[in-house]
Amino acid sequence: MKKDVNRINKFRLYFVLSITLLAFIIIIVRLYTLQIIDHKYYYKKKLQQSKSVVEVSPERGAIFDRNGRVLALTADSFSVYLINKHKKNSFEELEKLKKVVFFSSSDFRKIRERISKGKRFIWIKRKTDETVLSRITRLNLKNVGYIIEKKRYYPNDTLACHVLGLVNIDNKGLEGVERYFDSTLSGVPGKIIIKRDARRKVFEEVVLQKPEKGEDLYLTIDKVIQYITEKELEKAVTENKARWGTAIIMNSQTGEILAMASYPSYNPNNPTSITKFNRRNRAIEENYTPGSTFKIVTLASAFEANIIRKGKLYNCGNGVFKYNGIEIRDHARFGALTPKEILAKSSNICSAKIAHRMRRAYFYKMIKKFHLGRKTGIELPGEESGILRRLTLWTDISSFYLGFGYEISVTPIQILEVANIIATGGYYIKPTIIERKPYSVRRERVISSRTANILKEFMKEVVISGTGKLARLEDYPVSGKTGTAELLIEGKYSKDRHVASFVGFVPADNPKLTAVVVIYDPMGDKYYGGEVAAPVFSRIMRETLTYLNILPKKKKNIIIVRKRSSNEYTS
Amino acid sequence: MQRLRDSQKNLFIFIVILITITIFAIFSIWHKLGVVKASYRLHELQVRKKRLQEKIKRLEIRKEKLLNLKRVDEIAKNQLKMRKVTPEDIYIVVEE
Repeated sequence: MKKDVNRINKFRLYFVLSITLLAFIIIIVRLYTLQIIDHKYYYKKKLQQSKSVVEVSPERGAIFDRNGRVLALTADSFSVYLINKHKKNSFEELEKLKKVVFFSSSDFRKIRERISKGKRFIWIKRKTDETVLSRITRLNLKNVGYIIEKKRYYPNDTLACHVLGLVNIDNKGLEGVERYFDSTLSGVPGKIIIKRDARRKVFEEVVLQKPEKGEDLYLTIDKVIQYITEKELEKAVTENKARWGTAIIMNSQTGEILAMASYPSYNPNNPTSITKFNRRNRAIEENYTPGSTFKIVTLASAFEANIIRKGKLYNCGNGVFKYNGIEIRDHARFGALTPKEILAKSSNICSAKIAHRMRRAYFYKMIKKFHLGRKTGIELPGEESGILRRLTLWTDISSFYLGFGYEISVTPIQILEVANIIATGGYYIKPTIIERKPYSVRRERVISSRTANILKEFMKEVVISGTGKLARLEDYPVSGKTGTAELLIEGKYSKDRHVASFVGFVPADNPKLTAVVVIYDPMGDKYYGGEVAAPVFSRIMRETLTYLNILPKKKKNIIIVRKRSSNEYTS
Repeated sequence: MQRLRDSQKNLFIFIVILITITIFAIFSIWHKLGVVKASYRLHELQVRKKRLQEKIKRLEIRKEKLLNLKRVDEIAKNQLKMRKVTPEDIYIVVEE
């Protein structure tokens, strides 16, 4: 009996063992099939389902002013879309969205058209902010979703817009330093693997290639000086009913641009409102006739060639000079003038005569030496080179006209450089908009220091007793030159439309700042450079010198005590 | 009798092996689950970190917008009725 029990037990045992073994064998065979024979197939399928490689766009570098204050920054924004499954539902949801999102009538019409056409994926609002998104999510709409996209922010709105430029919807630079340094600012995209579980929930992100953030850019622009310049420029353009205006402030000794403003300006945060006219950076993209400001080049060239002497009198005639069918006019009958007076009173006749006394080839060489007719190479896109006719194209009367700044076109930054050559004692310093530390200044000798000092003194006289009196500052000596040129309209110089300008530097004896102001086509009562542009120069410089704490020479050894009042401020 | 004892011994060994394998399997699954849970947590924290970084950036933008010089100028002039310092407001004291 006991033997039978044992046998039964043994049978059971072997039975269980065999079943278990069989089960194991089946599992192992199945595992072998899945893991080894069909490995590639399932591995691929698994990867498709649980892993996805996503390209990560790098963060665009920020742009700062010379003191580290933010000018442009990239942050996340939210792009809202609609999945158009049923037209009726989509229209209903769009109506609800209309109550919380601001749509322009054209945008709203376009979205409606897309729904009607049966497009499946429709953008509702690209790159909107968190507040709008929260309003949308509160609506709890079934077919509305959003994705996160990087957006460029310009917190100062219009400030330095022409220098900064702007980016398109894909964050590619379109204008200004955004365009010039696009590759530097953009960075390198990276790749990540996103691992998801069966519910498509992300549980791990593995970095395959780390995205490299774009480099930050430090400009030489000073936010405060830029603001002062823009404010005064806007005022001048508006008051004088001008078409546009531009002003540049530069550090005389290093060539660093502290402010570069053009008006009308634009808000890069709102690209749809920008017109082609407003987008132009007039400081570097606009060629204009320099008029009398060019007399600096004429007189400097004449002094370099020893054609004129400082104290000698030159006959400027009775206000009209006729030569070979041309007529040159002065705004008064000057008679005999010294070179200093020629510049101070801005005699066209004497400047033309002096220019004509120089050999053409020499004068041409000197104009080229002043870096006119070529780009300055500033780190901004779209720079114009000005128009300087080749020597072979000069006529008999070319040097006459060139003597007082006609038959040539320059950009405002070029004329700024001309004045700066005088300010630096005869050296050309390339202008720059990018802060480089340590900064090495490359100087190129253009004229002798003797000539530069003579011109510096002459330009001082322009502001003391000449055409540029309104550029005067109470405590600082100013050197400068006014310019009033007739506008070239359809190949002819207009008698009643002008471009007014002023270029100069302060303090005249030890220049720290060089600046140019150009007001194009002022249609108000005034149109002379000395009346329209010189006061702008004076106002900008007064505030800038105070801001930079550049004390007047005679006040170096004094303490300035301000009467304290509760409501005083400086910008 | 000896054979029965042998087979019992074999059974015991088999069961021990089975239990060991099961324990290892459970441990391995438990460990894996722990890793997965930690991954979820890590990912959540990474997302949170990113959000906070973005929040900082947005606050920075907001701060810069509030510091907009045009705005400050207007507030100073129009709301606080401040005015600019003129040369008449300044005493000049000669340093000894």
